[in-house]
Amino acid sequence: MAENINQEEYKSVSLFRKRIKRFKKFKRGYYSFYIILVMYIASFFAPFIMSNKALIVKYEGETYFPVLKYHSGKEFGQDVFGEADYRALKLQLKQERQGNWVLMPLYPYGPYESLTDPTKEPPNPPSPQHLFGTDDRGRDVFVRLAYGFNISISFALVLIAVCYFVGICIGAALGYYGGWFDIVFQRIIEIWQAMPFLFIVIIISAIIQPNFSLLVGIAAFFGWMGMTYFMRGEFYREKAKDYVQAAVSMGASDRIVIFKHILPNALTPVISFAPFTIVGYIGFLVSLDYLGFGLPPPTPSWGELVSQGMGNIFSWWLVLFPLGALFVTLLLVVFIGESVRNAFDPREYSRLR
Amino acid sequence: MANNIIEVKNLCVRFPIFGGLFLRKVAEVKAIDGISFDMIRGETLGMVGESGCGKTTAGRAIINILHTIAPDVIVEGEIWLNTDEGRIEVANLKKKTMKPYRAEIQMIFQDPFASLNPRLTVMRIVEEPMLLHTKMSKAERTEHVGWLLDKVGLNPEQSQRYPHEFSGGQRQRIGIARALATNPKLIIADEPVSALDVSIQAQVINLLQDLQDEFGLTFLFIAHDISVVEHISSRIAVMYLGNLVEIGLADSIYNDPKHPYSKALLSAVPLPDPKGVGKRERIILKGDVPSPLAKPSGCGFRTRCPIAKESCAKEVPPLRDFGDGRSVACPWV
Repeated sequence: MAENINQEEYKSVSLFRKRIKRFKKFKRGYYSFYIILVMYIASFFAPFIMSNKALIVKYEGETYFPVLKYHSGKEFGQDVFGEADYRALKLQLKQERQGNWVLMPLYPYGPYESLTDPTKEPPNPPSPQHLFGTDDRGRDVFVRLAYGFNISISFALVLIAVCYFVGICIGAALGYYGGWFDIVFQRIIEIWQAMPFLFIVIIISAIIQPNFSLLVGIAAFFGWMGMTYFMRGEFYREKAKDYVQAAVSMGASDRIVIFKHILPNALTPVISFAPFTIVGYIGFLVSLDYLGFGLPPPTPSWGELVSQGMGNIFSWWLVLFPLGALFVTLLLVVFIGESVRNAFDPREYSRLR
Repeated sequence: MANNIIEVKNLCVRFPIFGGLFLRKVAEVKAIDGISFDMIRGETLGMVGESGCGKTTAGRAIINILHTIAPDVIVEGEIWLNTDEGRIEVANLKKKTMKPYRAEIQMIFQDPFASLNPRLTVMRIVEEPMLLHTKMSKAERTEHVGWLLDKVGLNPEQSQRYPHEFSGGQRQRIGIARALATNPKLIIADEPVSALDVSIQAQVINLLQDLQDEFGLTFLFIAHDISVVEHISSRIAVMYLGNLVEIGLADSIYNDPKHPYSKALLSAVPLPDPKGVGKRERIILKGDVPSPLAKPSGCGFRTRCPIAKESCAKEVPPLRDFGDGRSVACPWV
């Protein structure tokens, strides 16, 4: 029997798996990661959860899916211009009791519609219909925050992907080839980095109305330098190690040495910095939108809501909820970053708990 | 086929140092200052010398990997490699042109914890040379890796593990298996046992000797521990400050060193029998090794040499042939 125990399958684990395992031990970061992940995935389905467009309309024997396809109000016998008003349609069909019905999303308000109430001037305080109240144009704050969450996180993720990709490639080349190429290119990077990034973005935005991809492009154009320093340093250190020498002595090409041997061992700073960089990029988009140089209106953005709070400082819901959402999101991402850093720290006992 | 597997002719390796505002070359470290030696097929040439004497650089110059760490390195002289296809000068070959000959020369590294990529499995590490130099199928490679691991005394079933799951001695065996993967003729062993425990050292050295007998390998065995070198080597080359000071058969150098530096080096070897300690003459050298940045003129050893004369400062003493393969770079012995 003892032999059977000895022969039990020994599970071999790679370094990366070990670190994932260790990351899972840090509950705060692990749960934060799941919360952010679930919220982000859910935010892609926001049109199905919170929208003024009906999910399904059963009208005169036909089934419509307005959430996927535009239908004018005339198709449902409504006397409105443009798209049908599905909330009104729902009430109307319910009263008619002719077997026609409308299925609305859980939270039946859209991010762009002005819910102007003739009796009250917007912004309106929170109510059972509008959980977080409405903004100064009568748009639902809760819905705009939810749509803005998706845009904020997407912006940060796309920007970090572009910046890190460029930064890693250039940093790796600098560190691996070294010599004159390194010296000259580093000076170029230093000059580049000395440019006042935020002002340039503001000037460009003032001339041309930026959209999502243009904003990512501008931000990446001035934001890729940070990672090159880390990658350059990592490559300098790793290429002097014997396993790289061994690969070169076996005749491995630069491509194999860089991507197969050095890069996987040089990614630690990338992974441990990423969450904090994401925090920075979310804050960057918020500040641009706050100043009015970010995404064009009426894009639901957090910075725009924060600036509305600034303009209507006594409408407490316009101050509290956007700032609260920003605070909670950034805090969760920081928790993730902290746990990732701890999981990648080889010194077991230096962790802050 | 020529009897010599490799012929090193007047090899010089210099590392330029850049400084100042415009990064001009301000100095040069002469790591190797004109060494020449041949290696005979099937022998083990032990290369000894203290730290910084250029023995590791010599090994890395032969295998042509110095440019990875130091892109500005200057390698002069000739290294002729005798392959089945003919005689090729490899010292100045570029990366692409060197590749076909890489399979002939392999290297075993000093630190078994640094010489294996921690992200790859043992299987992937050992099969790498096959991926680069052969067109073996996956099944063939797996089989060959298993065979190699078995040869170096490891369990082939452990090939899916990662290096950090092995001990130092086992990791060095993985390194040896990798070096054998392309069936090389020459293996440069750069202090392969100095990072290991003494008990493991003996195992690894015996393994190397067994493999040499089985595959007819030629070893360039670089070490600073002369007793290890004496055990494994058929010939010994003694280096000092980038120069070869003495080369010859292991027994004759070990029992009767001629160059004053070799004498001092050997007198520092601890004796296994404490009774002999008092009887032996201990030669203690004065001062430190001069910086390779500012080498003394003429003979590099003259500043510390007990028998130095004025004329030693004039020119670098050439290797003098003493017969029986013995050469000494000192005119006074």
